[in-house]
Amino acid sequence: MVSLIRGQYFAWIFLSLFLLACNQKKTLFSTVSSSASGIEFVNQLPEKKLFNILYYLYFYNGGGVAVGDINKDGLPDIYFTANSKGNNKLYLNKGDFKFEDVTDKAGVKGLADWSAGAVMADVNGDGWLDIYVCAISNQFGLKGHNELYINKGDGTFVEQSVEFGLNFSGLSGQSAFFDYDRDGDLDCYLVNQSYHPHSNVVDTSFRNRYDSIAGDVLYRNDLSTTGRFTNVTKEAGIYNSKLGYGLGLAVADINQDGWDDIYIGNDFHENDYYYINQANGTFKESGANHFRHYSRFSMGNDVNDYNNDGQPDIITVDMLPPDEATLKTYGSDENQDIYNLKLISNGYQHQVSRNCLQRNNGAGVSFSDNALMAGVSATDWSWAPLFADFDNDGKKDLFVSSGIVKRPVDLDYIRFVSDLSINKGLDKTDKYDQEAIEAMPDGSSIPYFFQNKDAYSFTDVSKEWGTGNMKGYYNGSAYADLDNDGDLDMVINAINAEAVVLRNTLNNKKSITVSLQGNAPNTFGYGAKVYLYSAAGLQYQQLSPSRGFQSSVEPRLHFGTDSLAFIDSVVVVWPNQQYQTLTKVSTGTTLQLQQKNATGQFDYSKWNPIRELPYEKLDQAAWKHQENEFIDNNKQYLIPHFISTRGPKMAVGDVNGDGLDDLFVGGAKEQPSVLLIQQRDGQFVKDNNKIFELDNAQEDVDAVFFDADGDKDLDLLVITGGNEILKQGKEGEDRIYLNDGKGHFTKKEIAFPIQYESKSCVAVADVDKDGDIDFFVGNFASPTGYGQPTHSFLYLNRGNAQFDLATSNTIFLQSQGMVTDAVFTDLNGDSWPDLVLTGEWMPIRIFYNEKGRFGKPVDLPASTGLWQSLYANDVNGDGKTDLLAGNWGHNSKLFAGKSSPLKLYVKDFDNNGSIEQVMCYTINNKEYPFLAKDELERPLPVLKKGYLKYGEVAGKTVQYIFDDLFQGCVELKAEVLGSSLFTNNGKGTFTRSELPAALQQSPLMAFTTYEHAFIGAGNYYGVIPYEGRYDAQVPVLFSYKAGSLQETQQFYNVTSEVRDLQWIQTAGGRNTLVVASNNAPLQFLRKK
Amino acid sequence: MKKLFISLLLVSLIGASCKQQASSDKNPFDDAILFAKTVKELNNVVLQNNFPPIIASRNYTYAAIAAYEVVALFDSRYTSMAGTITHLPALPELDTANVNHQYAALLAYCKVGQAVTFPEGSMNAFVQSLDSMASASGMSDQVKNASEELAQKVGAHILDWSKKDNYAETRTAERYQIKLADEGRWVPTPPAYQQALEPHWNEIRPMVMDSASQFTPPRPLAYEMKDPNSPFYKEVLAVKNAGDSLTEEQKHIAEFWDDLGNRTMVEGHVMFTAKKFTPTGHWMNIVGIAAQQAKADFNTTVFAYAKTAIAMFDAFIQCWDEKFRSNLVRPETVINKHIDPEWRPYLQTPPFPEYTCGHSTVSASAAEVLTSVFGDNFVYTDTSELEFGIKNRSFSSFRAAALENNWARFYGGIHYHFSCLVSTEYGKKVGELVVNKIKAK
Repeated sequence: MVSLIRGQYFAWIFLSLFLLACNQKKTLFSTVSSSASGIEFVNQLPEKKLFNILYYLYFYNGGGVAVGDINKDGLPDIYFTANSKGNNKLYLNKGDFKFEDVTDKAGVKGLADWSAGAVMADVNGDGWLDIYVCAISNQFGLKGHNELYINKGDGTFVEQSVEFGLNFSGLSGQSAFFDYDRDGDLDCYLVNQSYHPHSNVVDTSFRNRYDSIAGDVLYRNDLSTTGRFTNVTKEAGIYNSKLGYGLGLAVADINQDGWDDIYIGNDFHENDYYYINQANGTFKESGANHFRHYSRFSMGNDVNDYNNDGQPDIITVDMLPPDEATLKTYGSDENQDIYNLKLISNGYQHQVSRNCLQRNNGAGVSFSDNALMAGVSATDWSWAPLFADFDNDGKKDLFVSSGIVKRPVDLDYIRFVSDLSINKGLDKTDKYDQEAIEAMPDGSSIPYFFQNKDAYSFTDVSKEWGTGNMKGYYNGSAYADLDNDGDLDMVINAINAEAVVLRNTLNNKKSITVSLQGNAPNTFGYGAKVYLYSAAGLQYQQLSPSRGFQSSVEPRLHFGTDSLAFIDSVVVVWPNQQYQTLTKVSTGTTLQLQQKNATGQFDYSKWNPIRELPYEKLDQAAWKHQENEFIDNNKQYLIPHFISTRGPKMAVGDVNGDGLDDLFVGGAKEQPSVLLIQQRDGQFVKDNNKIFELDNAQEDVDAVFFDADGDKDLDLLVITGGNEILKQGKEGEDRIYLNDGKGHFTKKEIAFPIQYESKSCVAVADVDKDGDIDFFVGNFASPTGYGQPTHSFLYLNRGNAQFDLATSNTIFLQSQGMVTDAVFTDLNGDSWPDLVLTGEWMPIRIFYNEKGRFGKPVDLPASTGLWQSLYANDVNGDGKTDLLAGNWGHNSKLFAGKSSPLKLYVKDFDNNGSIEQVMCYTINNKEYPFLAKDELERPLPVLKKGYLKYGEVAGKTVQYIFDDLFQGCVELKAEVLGSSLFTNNGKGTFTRSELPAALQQSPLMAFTTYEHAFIGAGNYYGVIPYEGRYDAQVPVLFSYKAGSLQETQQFYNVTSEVRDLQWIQTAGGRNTLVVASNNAPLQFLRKK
Repeated sequence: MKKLFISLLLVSLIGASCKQQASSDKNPFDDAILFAKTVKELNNVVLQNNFPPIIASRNYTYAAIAAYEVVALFDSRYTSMAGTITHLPALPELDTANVNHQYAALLAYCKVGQAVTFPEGSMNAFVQSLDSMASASGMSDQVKNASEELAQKVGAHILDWSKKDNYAETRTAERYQIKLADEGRWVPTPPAYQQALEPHWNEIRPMVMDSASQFTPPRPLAYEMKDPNSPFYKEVLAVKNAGDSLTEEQKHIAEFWDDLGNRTMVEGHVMFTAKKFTPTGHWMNIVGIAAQQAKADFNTTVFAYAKTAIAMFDAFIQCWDEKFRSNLVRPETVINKHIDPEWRPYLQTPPFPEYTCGHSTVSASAAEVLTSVFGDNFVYTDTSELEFGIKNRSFSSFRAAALENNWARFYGGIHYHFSCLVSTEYGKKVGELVVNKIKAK
């Protein structure tokens, strides 16, 4: 009896253990404990009086990791740096994840008070990897200098930074060794921090003021002549001032011209630097020509080709929290005009406070930030991003280390807790330092892993890959195949905790490892490029070990090869541009390649060509749209985005009968609109200026040429909008100008009853088939309150350019919403033009034309969105007209990581006569306000009644925060944010499908056809800095193939805020596409 | 923790008042110092709420008027301000029997004071301790209830009246537009680069002025930085040179009248705010010091507070009306742009246009009122800034203090001297108007 019970008891234990084990799914990485590995290194922060986060702004930046085989036994060894004297460590890899601490024997413990970045490189060209350590010195009472540990080849190192001229003593964060002048030896770049109080923003001319400890430094390797490195910073064109808080450093041939360029990530308001190698010993900082914006608080970065198109991309990391509760304690960034004042007026380029995934659009001509769309924009206080193929599927995944010991930017901390009880300012005594620091909330985080899904997205797999449940402060990191089993492992330097060693347990996919033996003195082939060509496509990497943050990865290249048995071709391009090709290379191998076997000169245009654009951009300075200085949020504080920058649109037509299309383009407020008459030689000449100058108070948002008076020439109808329409003022006046047949226009007075509103669009058609053309005007937002529905208008032509407003018998257009675009098109094939309209927080709405009368409209189900543009066309060629609709897109904080719907609550919340709008997104079925408390409180101080602290509302739903203030709210929603195709099924129904990812990068404002394909274009800059200007979209050519829409090509050299696309007839045919953009010149693209 | 502190405070007060009061041994509320402490308590709440000084002036004024209206019902020396403040409607008929009017005045003050602060009930703990004090002193339920009811009614009347001063409407009024092309036009200043504060404050209903622009000052010196001999350029240089050579005494003066309320400190990613008095808070404190020194009784003290608050309230409106008419750029901006990009003023520039000087205006206005209540040549030592680690200063009169104030803003590097002079002159005009209109019987 007893034994039976015991048996049962054990059975239960066994069962539960079994279940437990089954529930613990195996993760890709497993942590190797210090007792197993022998790696006991801890970066323990020093505790000293008058030295902490209050004095040294980078007190929590942590240390670095450098990986490489220092004893040539085929196993990569690990070097850690510590932020205290004599605590760096070198671990020798004994195989099978066992390591031996050889620091003392090697003599590399580090003598500087604070070590930062570390790099392994063969600096003296003797075939052995040396270690170069950067140090923060000469400030904050820290002593020391950068150290160069030369590998003697016998397990010992000798510190020879002085002899080599590399004993820089300043604020050095990290270094990179590379051959910038292609003379065969390794030069050195130092990225340095700064101490300049950044709170007073000075202009960018300060970049030219030399600083001895803060500016970056470039050293040319002159070992063969003078025996030392020479500081060539100034002559090489490298900025050397204290303006740059350099934290991120990447060296790569970004524009694929055979010469290594440099990308520097700068914290605070100094933008990142993109130094393009001029091939003559100098660099030119050229970021403004290629990047639309950067990360604001750039920390680490990585340059690598993550979408396998052979073009290096860049990721920069920032400090955006991913979770609501933390995010909402940070506040909402600056207002637009403060941002303009601090940054733009001082010459800095645009920056956003989040990670930026800068996808290379081709040859480094332009980059588009896709971080939001890709799902990698918010990884909290981040340090080291690293692209690497961890699961060997041939696509590069992303690792990001993050965490900060204390968050100094928590708003509650700043506003309230900093009031220390005895009221002595922290600037007067250090007595309250400890209290001040302890009051800062903790900022622990995890190391993130993102799996590469496709060219446009990543998925957070931190849990599945083993780091999702970790908690700490993770800084410098490096990947390496530590056990030579064909997959990449990770080593992470952590603050006040043991370093993390992650063993990759993958065993079902192979890889190829490339080990390079270069000509001396660059014996490890730093700078060499490897291209893999196979049935799966292309993979490209360049050997540039300084990556991520304060760290260097092992100097071997690793390519995951998925289930391929072999790679068709492996091409290696050495730093001197000689190359070698290997064919049919088996996977699951290590290639040992030697530079002496390379020949010829690599031709990038042959091997890795950029797809030629199908057009040429004409050098045409016909006209420039000029916005007036107006910040919408100054009037309606909570308006979701600007509505005053929707122009210009164009009217195209041959107004003087000479066979060439002319252009009318609407000017902004206080800018006269313009009529451009095309000349035979392709130039455009302004005409009729005087009459348009009379109406320059208007912000003309749309226009159309049509025969209004039936005399067979094209008259002009101009519609006005903007956000500054006052009652019955000139700003709201639409006009009709009649053409005399020769292109001379006169305004027709009282042609139709004007609606003094902020309109958005016009569409023309003969809706009643009475032989003359009628028009519809879409009304956008009420100038007194965005969110209130407005009435739109249909005007019926009496036949002589005299129009009557259609009554509700003809069509009922009251309270449509906020219309942005409309088209007349026959959707049901009955030859009567139906009216389709849409707008912000509106569905796609169809008014079917029943022989001149429009019945009750049909709203396409679940189609509400922030629609910006409509285009009617038979996209799938089935004889029925479909609809392309441009929406807000996926590359947005409103979409990334959120579920449907986005909402807007509209009400006069505080009963003071003005209405406010509270925009909310949904996460896991809960709604959160888009803005943080500080921004919401400004127009709604009533919110303060309930909650004084940010912590009380951070992470709380909008219902909780607003409580009964929500009663009586009007609720608007946007169920869809993706730009879409609505396919006409006939029978009155449509099926929605999302446009390809390439068209979701920004709000899509215009469409047109291109032969048998389509072009979509957009961008929208008029949003608050917290939302971040939408500038990633270049025009994309897409077509309908095999049942779906696919991206064909991206027009990477058109980077403006596009509003309209129109083809024009020229002397050479209908071959030129005119691109109208807000606050920018017209662009002319002529088909090749 | 706060409750305990307040209870201890009150226990000590009871002790103190027992020693000091000759009469009213059984009425601990007949204590001018208690009223001063109550004002200080509101000041703490206002500071915690991070109210900018100008918005804080509303809090003090309406609360003080509420207390005064209670007092006026019981003291033949004082008359209701209804009518004198033309838009203040007369109080309804109130039952004044069995009322401890000091207790009622304190309660009315707290009721109104905390109605415009956040979160709701921010002075509850303090009010609770007053309640305990009443019980502890043996106040009968009848008196207690009557007093509370009177306070409630007066408070409600004042609150109702306060809601019509356009404050609510101006919460969403159009913000100040930065126009970078206009160099002489104000732009936000470091380190916080805050937006312009309250550009529509001239729409707030003044107490005694007939309009915000009743005392419009002359146009400021024209902006001119191309010619180093221009008057404007010289004024700019004067600010810079003074700032570059401050003596210890001058630094003390600048710090003494800083009264920035919330000063933002930025170091790297670390930001915090250091708190101090606001100008209104500082002068409210001076009222308390003067009242105590003059041994003013409770009612006179309340009168002094109310009249001074009104003087500052209107002075702010007058000053802000001009600030956003001339939109003059701050010395710091001009110096950084044209002379020395690294120059910093000794004090932190507050976030609004330069002309005229807010602190100087309200100080001059307050000084006039205090002179009318306590007399000219009232020598006193101002201990207000001691709790912020700044030593005391002594003055031969209130006007002398106001005068020193305008030098303080100049030494502080945040005002041109010509502005300070005009500010004192026009603040005085506002003060004189208040003195003439609001009299004791």
